[in-house]
Amino acid sequence: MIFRAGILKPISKTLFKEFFSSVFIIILLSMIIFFLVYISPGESLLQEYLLNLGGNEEEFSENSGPINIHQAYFSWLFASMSGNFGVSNSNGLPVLGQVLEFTANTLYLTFSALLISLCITLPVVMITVSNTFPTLSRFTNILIRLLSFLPLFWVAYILIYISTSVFDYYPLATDYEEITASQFILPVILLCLGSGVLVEIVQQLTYEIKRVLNEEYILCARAKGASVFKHLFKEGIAFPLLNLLSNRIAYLFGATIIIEQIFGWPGIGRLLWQATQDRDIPLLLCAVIICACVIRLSHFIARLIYVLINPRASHE
Amino acid sequence: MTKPILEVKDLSVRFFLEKEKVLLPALNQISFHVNNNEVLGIVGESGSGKSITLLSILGLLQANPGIISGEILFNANEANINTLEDISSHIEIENFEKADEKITKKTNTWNKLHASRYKKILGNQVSMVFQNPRLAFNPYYSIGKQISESILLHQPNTDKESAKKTAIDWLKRVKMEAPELRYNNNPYGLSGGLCQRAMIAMALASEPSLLVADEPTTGLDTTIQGDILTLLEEIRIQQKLSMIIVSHDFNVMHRLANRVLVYYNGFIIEEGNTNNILDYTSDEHHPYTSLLLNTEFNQHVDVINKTKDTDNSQSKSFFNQCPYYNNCLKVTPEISNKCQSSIPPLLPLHDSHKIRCWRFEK
Repeated sequence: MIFRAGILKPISKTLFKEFFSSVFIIILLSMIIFFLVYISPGESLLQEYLLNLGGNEEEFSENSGPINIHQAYFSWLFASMSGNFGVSNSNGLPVLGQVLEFTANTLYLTFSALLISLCITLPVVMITVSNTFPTLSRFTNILIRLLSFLPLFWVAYILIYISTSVFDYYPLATDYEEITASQFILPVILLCLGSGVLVEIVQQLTYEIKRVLNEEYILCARAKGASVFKHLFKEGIAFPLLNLLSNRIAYLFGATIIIEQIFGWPGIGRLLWQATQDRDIPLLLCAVIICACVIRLSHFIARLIYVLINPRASHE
Repeated sequence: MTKPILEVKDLSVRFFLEKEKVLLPALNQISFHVNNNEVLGIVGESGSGKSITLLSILGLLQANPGIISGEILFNANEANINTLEDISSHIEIENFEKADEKITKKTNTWNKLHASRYKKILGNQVSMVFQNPRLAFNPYYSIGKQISESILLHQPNTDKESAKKTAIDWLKRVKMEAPELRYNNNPYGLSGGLCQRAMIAMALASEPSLLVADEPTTGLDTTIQGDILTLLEEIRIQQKLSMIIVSHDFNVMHRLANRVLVYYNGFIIEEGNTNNILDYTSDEHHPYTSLLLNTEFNQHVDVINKTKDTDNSQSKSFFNQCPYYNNCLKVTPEISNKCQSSIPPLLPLHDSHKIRCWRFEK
């Protein structure tokens, strides 16, 4: 323990661990979702899909009776592992391309929402912690709490109403090919206001910063005349933010479905919703798997950054 | 005669308790000075205000003190800065009903003033060795980085490479073996003794003229305590430092200090040369000091026998009776009235030996 372990070792260890846990989780998820599809009515749709993927005709043809779930699952798994998720039932296009495109659209939304919530919350946290304007910080804290507890869909319709009647502007995305910046604004604002992200960041970060400010090493940093912010940054700001953001991405992915429905935004939530409605099995399976991959990836990146900036991570 | 390196005059700190709306005295009219090349020791039980004295000298008092007044004068390097100038007026409480709002507002201006005044002093003139070195180092940076940070902050003309060299040199001077490897160590990878050495290196790396040490040996085991004390002694002579050393251990005072202050309940109750203070055979001591000395040197003396009917409702009479009156065993009927009705001043005895006790009034 005397000498610090090389920085590469903990990173490769984390990479390894995280990668395998991700693979395990995604495979488990694929099993569950496939089983759900299997037990839901409409077996012929599944048979047709498996045939399209290049399955054995004797096993999956209409005449061969009920399909065997292991065989079905593994033939689907091997096909999808090579990137072949089949074609959509509703429009006949390859599923993977569609899903990736829609996922990218949702990622735009979630990341802009996170970015904007950071831009709003960080100054609020700084004001609260530094205690320079106590009245202002109290006011902004109450305001943020109020905003976060408003029901999302209700605010959305009111904002659409205001936008169309007062500003004479129709904010819904009608043309998927060209989404203008102004069509982008309302969904993003709603997403960061209505999902509780603001409150959570403000509360957690304020708490963490105040806790770290009482640590003795901050006193020591002040005693030598060093910047308090620099010494506070890692434990007080970077770690909690990483944690919050990586957890919030998963949550926002789920929350976008309401926003996407209301604004007609071509995102993954809406796609999933439609696939379920249309019983579009290829699309459904692919979308769930890609969603899981994206969420795992964000966790993975957060974990990697954490290990990079925290020399203690290798001891945990 | 040269000016003392640090002069503290009438330093009083009062904490404001928001719930009870009371000002709690933490330090009362503390005055002392530290000469060039001198080690001043401060002894006292925990809660007697030793650490608060150090923190107010370094301008690190955090928990909204109600009032801090007096003078703290730094005289080194031909600077002459009173860090408490005009500061006390920013925190005085006029209206107790609305006090909490007023205090926040005023402490902000106070903090700014204080911070700007201390910018030149922290590190350059005074730096501190903390009691618990493992908590005082930032666990997310290597100790070497933290040492060279303090070098870079206070010697603006150095670049990173030479700062690293100087930091390694400092680690060598505090007798860490393999300093190049230790440079990259994180604080949690070091033992307590090594950490304290690194702490001393960090405090000295900014080359202050006054080193303040808050119980530097308390958290360590006995053999390492001795090593650290020897190190402090050697380095003090090498660097021609002045020091303030706080401890509850008379052994530390005996080894390092030239002069000793004894604290009790926010008062200096005795002040004098180490020889005078530590002379446990003499009877010329404040009763509290003799109690301390007895527990330290004649351990057979039954200390627990000191109990006297103490009433805990002393807060009301706090300002007008001797701070030690409730525990004092040496009150004689002749002076009992005086002890109860007034706080004794520091009465001079002989060559700079002063005692805050009415028994020594001539």
